[in-house]
Amino acid sequence: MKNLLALIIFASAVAGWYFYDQFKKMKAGLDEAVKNIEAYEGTVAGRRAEMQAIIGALELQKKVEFRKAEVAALKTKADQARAETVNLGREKVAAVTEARQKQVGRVFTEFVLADGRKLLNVRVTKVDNTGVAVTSASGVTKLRPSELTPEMRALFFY
Amino acid sequence: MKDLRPIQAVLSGILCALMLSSCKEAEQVQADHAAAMEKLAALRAEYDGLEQKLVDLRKAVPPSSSPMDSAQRMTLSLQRELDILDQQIVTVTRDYEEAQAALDKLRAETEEVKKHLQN
Repeated sequence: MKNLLALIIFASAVAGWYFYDQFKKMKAGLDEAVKNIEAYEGTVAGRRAEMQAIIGALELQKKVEFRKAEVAALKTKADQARAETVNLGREKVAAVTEARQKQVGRVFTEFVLADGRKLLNVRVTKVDNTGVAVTSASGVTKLRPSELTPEMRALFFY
Repeated sequence: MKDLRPIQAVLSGILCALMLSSCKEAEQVQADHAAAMEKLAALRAEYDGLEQKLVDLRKAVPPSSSPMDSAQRMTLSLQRELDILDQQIVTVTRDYEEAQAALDKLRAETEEVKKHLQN
């Protein structure tokens, strides 16, 4: 009976040691896995941040390209408007010259100037950018645009 | 000679209880270990996926020992460029509006002269 008791105690001790050893190994494995998880979590977080940083930079690059195109388009439109202005300016000068030429030969019985002076029997002989040349009862006169009344200035396109 | 059977029974009971408790604890550790390994595998898969995507993405940033720093430098530089472009847009828009306004004014004046000519 004593021997059996000793055997049970011995067998239990061996089994206990075996289980304890296995348990220790398993626990060590778990600890290592937890450490690995922590390390991987750190690395993965770093990679995620890197990816976000690169994607952010690429999106910004697209925005910059879009803005550049926008600036270029606006510059082109402004250049076109300026070029059109130059052409239209020439057209306007031609039209004004033609309109002024139509006034050459026109006769006014009375031609009132901006300062109130009156010229009688006026005939327009020449109209250019510097003024209106007329012949009147008092002789040949060159009238500067500033000497004309607003109505007359409009008539001769000053 | 005393009867040792009760002692034997008690001892056996205690040992059985101890072993049972150890087994349960071991089972828990095993389950934790399995869960940890599963999580680790998922993290590894995510890491591999990220690395694969980063291979192409890293080509888009200037080469550097740290692509992250490179991307951050690139972002800063692009942000500065974007700010300058935003200012340029304001200036160019004003320039365009002025040119367009001058053109519209001249167009109206020319039309008026032409109308006068037709009359």
